Amino acid sequence: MSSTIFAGRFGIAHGAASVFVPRLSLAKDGVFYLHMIVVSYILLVLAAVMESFASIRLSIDEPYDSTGVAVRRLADSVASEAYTLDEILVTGTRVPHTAALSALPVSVAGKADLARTNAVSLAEALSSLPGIFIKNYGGVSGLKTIAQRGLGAEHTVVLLNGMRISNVQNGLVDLGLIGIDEVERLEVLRGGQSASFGADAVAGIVNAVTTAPGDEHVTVTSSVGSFGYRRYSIGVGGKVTDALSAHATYRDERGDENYPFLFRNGEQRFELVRQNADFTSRVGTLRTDVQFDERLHLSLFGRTFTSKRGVGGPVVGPASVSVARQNDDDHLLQLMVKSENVPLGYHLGMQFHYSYQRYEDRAFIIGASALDNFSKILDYRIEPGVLYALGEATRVALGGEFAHTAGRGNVLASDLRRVTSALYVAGQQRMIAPSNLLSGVWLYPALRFDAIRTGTETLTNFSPQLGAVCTFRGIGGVVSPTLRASVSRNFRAPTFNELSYAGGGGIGNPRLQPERSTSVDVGLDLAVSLFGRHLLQVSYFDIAMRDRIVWVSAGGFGVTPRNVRRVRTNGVELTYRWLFFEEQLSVGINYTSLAARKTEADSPSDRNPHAHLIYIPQEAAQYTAAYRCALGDGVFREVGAALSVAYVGFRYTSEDNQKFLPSYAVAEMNLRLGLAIAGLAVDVRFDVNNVFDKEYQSVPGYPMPLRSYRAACNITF
Amino acid sequence: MHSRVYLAVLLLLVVAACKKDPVTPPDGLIVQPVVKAVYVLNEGDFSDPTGARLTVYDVEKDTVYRDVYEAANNGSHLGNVGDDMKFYNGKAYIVMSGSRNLIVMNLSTHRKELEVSFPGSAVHDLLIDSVRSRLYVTRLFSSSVYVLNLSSLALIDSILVGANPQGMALSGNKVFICNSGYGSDSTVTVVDATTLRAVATIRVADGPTGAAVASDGKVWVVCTGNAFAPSPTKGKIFVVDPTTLTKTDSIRFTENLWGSIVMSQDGYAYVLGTTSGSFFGGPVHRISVSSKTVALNFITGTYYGLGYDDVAREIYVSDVREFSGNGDVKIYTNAGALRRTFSAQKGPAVFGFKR
Repeated sequence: MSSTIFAGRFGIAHGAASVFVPRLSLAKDGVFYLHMIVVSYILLVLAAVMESFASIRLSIDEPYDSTGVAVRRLADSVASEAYTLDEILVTGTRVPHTAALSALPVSVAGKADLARTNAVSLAEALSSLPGIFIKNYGGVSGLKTIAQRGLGAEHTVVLLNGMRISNVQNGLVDLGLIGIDEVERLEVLRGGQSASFGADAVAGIVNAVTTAPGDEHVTVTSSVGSFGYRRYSIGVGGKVTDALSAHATYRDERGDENYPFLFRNGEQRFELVRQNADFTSRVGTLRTDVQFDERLHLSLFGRTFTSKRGVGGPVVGPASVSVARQNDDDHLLQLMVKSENVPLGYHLGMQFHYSYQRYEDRAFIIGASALDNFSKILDYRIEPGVLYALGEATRVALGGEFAHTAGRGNVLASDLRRVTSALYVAGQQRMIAPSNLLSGVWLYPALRFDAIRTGTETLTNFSPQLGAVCTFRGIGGVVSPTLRASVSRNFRAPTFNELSYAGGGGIGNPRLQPERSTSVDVGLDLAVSLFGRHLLQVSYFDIAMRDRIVWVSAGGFGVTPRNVRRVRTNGVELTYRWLFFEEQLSVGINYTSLAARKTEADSPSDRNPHAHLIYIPQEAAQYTAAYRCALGDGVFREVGAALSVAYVGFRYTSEDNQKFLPSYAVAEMNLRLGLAIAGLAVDVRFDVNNVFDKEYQSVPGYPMPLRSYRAACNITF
Repeated sequence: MHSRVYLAVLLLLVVAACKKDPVTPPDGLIVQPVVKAVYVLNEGDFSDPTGARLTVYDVEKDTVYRDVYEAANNGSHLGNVGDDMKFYNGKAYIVMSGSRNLIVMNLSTHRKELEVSFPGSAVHDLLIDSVRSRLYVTRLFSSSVYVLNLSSLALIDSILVGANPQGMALSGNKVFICNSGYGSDSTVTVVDATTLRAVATIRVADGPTGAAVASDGKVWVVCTGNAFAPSPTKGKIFVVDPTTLTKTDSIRFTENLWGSIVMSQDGYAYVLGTTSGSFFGGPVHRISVSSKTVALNFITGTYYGLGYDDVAREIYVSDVREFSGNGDVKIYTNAGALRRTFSAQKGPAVFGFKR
């Protein structure tokens, strides 16, 4: 407590902690603010130097708007090959801006990008992006969670249409339960963003934007595939009036998931079949958009989802059998009003979200009862905000996030309620006017205050962030570089399980403090026009985390979570795409190399003070080659094909880093054909997953399917 | 042309950048025939299909061998979560609850002789009835015990017992089965070893988990207590007369017990307590079989596994070091003096003595 300071930047010692003052230590905050100063300084000096050279460079006469870049909102099919970063609007930010102006690395995948993959859910779509590893517990029905930048699923905030859907109970979102056909656009902003999104935005955020109503249409889709996979969906949408449009969908998906796999024990080789991994899910959505005028827009989105599935469990021997079952229900209603008036726009988001999970295992009997756990989470939230343009160079977003979350379950010691109140301010400031060389230099300061009351405990946190972007006009008409940097303080709030678990074998800790971290990002984007078009994005990140929550022994017969661990993850992410042959062909590479290590011992008896974190690959890459060609107005409209190979490096599976799961490379391919038959648009595709029959596991004990096939037909009236 | 060269170079660079997997650590040394040895069954990580490992301490050569089973069986592993090991007639019977299998290993060659799987059954503890050539195997989450033929491992019978059966003891023709319920059960089921029928249920205290037979033939039952009950209970030991099936004595503890118990031929029972702040066992308490006097913290520390070498009159304990790496085995004299420490593998839990 004696090291608490009133306000870090002033360095004034203060004896008593205030609930409104973050508990920051002098030394750590000194480093943090030093980072901020250095990042700002480098960007400004670099910009000034480049500015001074501007007069001797070639003048490229490009049109640009008041923010210095060409901002074009794309109605649909964003992020296809034809668009560049400066044309892609990133909506999952407090101050909307284009991808080219993001201080943090952004990946945006639109319908066209998603169609190139064999993804059926968010999990597969995300797995192809840099910095992201999906912990896949096998097949379509297995749990799939995100591990971004070497951290856990609880360190990434998942948003749907910009509003949080991450589960407070366990911090997870099963990304396999959100179908890719529900998503029009996927945005991933890597790097800490608690200054905008509050708790848990430590490794980054994922924002899935649902499909907007388009022109009148009826779409029927049917998919069949290996291991009893069936998927049927229907979508109806269009304009009801000039102002009102709607889009409704229903999908039924199921599978037996009885896929063959190999289990090896030394020289012994067992050909087994996955059991108890069948699933059935149904989802219905309705989105209604009302365009009151050119700038005022209302959107109502509802989603109801239910799923029943077997939990195959880990395969640790030929006799591994599971009878566990899991049910998931998830119901969500969102209302969003948005005014894009200039200079003052506003938005109001409201969300009701109910999720229910039940896990039962008749073969796991403790005392007289079989394992039968359930949890119910009811979350209401309201997120108002304004966006104000202060002249041409400055935009400021002010807003709040107010949420009430109630949790019930038989693994919690008692019902829990969490009330989140947060205020944020975020800005975009152009520092240097455009010139012949420079498009501009932008600063992105942001600050957010969170007060999170769970039960009787309240945690408060200030999250500052400073980002900077320096964009250049095309050098020699060939190379267009952008430099970006960001430094931020972030935090993760303990989950309900961590605070109040009482399900046997352990006990929650209501006095947990939030995990706190400092993130630094530096990156370069390059667009090169030479033998086609090349888009390169390179990012370095460094996350230093303290007070990481780890379940440790609690005495007696259980474990309890405590803030004991210090972790540092750092690495490089690279994204490269090369478009050529009139952009019909594209070749892409995503590559990530990272280190995620403990930086000191968890306890005096900890023998592995600097070990790598388990289950985290230190290296991942994906190579993609895609072809798409419009064939004209005849029966054959379009043909496309894609081949990708995903490589995941070895992952340590023991705390002492003595055991590991081997690396693997898995290929997938697809062939797509667009037809026009009797006035109908017919899209057919054929997917092959795990083309080379690779035997592999993403998570130890959870075998992945060998080669599998899927065929789909989509008819739009 | 330029494009193709560029593409090739780029791919080459990226592929070359990929790190190679670490070299798997060697699976241990081939064990020379050992005459006097202590076998340590290591549980391994719950998530590791190959986690159960066997470490051998050659007493005469004072040498430790690791991954003994793998070395003798072409790299094959025992399985997942090694829970119990018993020796009889030159063979080791080893059971894995995670991979649900039982392996019979030759103690001279360390080669596997037999293996049987129990799909859906977390087989956990073993008891050998050499007189009737039977092997009892508890099914941890199925409230029952399998009875197998000791030679062929063929299933003879399945006996319903209480919740979460664990430790077992054989005295005369009675088999005593501890129904731990992980603290929620408090009974011992008595089975007639001849008819294989349950003949009695003895109520003891919360969490009967381990049992051993004293030199006088009486059965000692260790109850852990229930730390998570609304009214938490502490550890207790009961002494049961196998003839009358009545409790003749009991010993109360002011802490929870870990559940392990071993008997020495020189008249002592050794049990493990629990260490405050640890989930991985506790100190060794020694109890006089005759006077029932307790020497609390006879060996201080936090120990997960417990064994007694009646020939050398030495106490073996294991420190799993919170499963954060290989655990240690410590050898104490029966006077409580530390004689030797060696590193085993992950989660050393069960000892077997080959003499």
